[in-house]
Amino acid sequence: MQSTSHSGSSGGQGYENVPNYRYHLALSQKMAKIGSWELDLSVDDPDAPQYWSEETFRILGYEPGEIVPSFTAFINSVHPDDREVVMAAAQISIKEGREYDLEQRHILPNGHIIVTRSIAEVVRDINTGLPLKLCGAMKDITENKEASEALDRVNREMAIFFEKIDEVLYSVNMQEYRLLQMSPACEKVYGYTADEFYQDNYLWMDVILEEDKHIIHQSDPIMRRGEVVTNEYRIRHKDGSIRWLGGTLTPTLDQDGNLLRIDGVCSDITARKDAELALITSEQKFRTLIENSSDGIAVTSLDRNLLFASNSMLRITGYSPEELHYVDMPFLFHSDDQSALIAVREKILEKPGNIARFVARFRRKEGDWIWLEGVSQNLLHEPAVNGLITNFRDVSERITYEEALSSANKHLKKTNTELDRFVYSVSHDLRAPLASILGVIEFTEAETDQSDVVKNLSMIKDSVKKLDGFILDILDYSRNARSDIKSEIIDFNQMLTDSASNLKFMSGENGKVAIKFNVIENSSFHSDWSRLYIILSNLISNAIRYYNPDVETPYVSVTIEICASEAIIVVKDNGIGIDEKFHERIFDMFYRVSKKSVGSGLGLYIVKEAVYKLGGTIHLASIPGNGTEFKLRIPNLLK
Amino acid sequence: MKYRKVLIIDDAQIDRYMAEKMMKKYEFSNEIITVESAMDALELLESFKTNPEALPDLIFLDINMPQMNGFDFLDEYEKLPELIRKKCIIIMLSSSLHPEDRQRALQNPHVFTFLSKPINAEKLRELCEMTSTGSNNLM
Repeated sequence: MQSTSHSGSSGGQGYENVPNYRYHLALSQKMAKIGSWELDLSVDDPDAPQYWSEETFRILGYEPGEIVPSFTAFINSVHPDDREVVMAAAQISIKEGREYDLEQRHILPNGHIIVTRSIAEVVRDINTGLPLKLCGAMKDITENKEASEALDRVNREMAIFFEKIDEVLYSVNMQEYRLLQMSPACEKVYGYTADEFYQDNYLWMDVILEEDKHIIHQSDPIMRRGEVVTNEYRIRHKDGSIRWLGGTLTPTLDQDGNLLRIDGVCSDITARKDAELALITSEQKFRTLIENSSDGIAVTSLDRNLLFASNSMLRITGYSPEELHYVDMPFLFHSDDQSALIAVREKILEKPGNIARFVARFRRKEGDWIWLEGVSQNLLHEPAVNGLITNFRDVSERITYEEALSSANKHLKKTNTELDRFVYSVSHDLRAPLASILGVIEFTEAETDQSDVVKNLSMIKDSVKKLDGFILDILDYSRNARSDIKSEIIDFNQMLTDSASNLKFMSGENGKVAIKFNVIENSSFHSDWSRLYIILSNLISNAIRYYNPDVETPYVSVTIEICASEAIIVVKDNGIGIDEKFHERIFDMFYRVSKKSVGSGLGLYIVKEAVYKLGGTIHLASIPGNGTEFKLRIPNLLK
Repeated sequence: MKYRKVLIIDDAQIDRYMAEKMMKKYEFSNEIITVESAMDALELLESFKTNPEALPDLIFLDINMPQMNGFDFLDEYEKLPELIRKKCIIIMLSSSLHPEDRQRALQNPHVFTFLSKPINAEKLRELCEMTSTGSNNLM
């Protein structure tokens, strides 16, 4: 053991008789992990052997005596970054004779970096006062150093955490009722700064809404039992708004169970609370809607038990939901409606989600019958419902009204038919004698040669024909005004032939007016036959009646062009024409252009009304002396 | 003379009278029988069943008549022996404007045609043409 022998030979002569001191010192050094060393300042050679204790070797990563404990070896072990400081400290210490105390890093042979604290003193010559040696002790403080650095770091982080988090952290000394600490987040949550809380120990309680203070009071006994409390309450923020806070309080008790201190965390939970309240509100709203809805809602199970019924059930049926739990509801419906209800049930049970409607009579608890209209849906697959849901309401009033309406309608239809029949009968009864008179006149005309008799008979005949025409017009009017629009296939050629053939008997001398027609069929045409017949017959008869005697070849031409959407009908004549000032009024009821007009004044009015009924339009172009043209557009009812 | 024998069924005396006068004047038929009701007509036709030679060639039938109208008559006529029905041509005659009447008359297999009142020379002439050609286009 080089070092031992060296140390033994160089120092400690006076301890020869007490060898256990050396042992004790070595043991102490080993246990305390403190190494000691000496640097002989009289030796200039940095590589000259010096003294290191065994523990010094160990601290620097060597077995005792493994290397020569020179100044160079020591300096080399120091971390290159720390060498200058160590050298400087040593120089100053030697020069000024002062003790030095330094922390430095060493790089061990295995590469580990350790931190040591070294304390050194200068030993001077008693006589000359010159420095002889530098004696020092060193201790590996790496672990201490790391632990304290870690602690610092944690403290720093904790401080940041304390400063930055949104939650307010606070501690209260409950013996003195003094706020110990309050994190800066309070400014965000409460609107008050930590200082304001420190200055007013009761501020935190004062901001809690009066109606919520009981929550805090209630937690007091719990905390005094040493239990952690979680609560939610509202505060008045400094800005005046109300905020929801949620937090926990952790109490600290002494051995006797006295509450010493509480540590609390709280945060702003307004957003969450608002969402919760909105949910509760909407659920309440929904429930209120169901309960107060005039519609009843019932949920029944597959085996027809009533699972749920809204309160409106009582109002509608007279039965409370509870009563109906013990009644087989289907039997409260009218026996005539049972089969329909069974069909509804079968339909909705076919598959989940199926919907079916029903209208059925229901006997109320009071014994009277009401009509229930409802919609049932199979929601057996919906866990929230797990049944057949039926929304229903009392439609008795509506059904009664509908029945009354239907009965009134039936009555009206009957009246209408009767009236129709009546009009025909009356017109027949009026026309039959006229026909007889006409027959007698025509016969007498043929029998006599007396010109004044013939003239008189002719006047009677005109009057009879006028009266007959008037009856026909009234009949047409009545027919158009009241009968429904029919959609039937129209053969215009046939219609015009019929009409022309009927009009042939209309007037003797007018018979020379030629009736021409041309039908261009690009499509088949559907409309109301009798109305079209009335329209065409009236227009043609007008053309015949008001023909121009000065024209050589009087005519009326009917051109009809059919397309898929409509028929365009042009009735054109070379008759006497109509002055423009009358154009506006000729379609008016009972309007006749001149005294010479022989009609009833109903013809064009009926035409206009019939065209209107068919959804068409009619336009007139006429120049007196030149002729008249009616242009009609009649929609094709062919779908 | 166009026809041998014509039967006129009409409740209105003036119409029976005029029809008869008109037919005689235009030599429409040798013999003209008029009855004032459908019942009388049926009774008359019935009486001819053993003597078909006495049946009329044409029957002018009014629609609106009391008790039994023209259509009721046709229902009963249906039940008469074929012998009678084969011999007679029925012309319905009315001043009715009800389209249903006209349609119903033309649909009846025993009705040859429908004429509106009054009967005049021209209608009689056209009727002659129709019965000889078998066409009943005149309406």
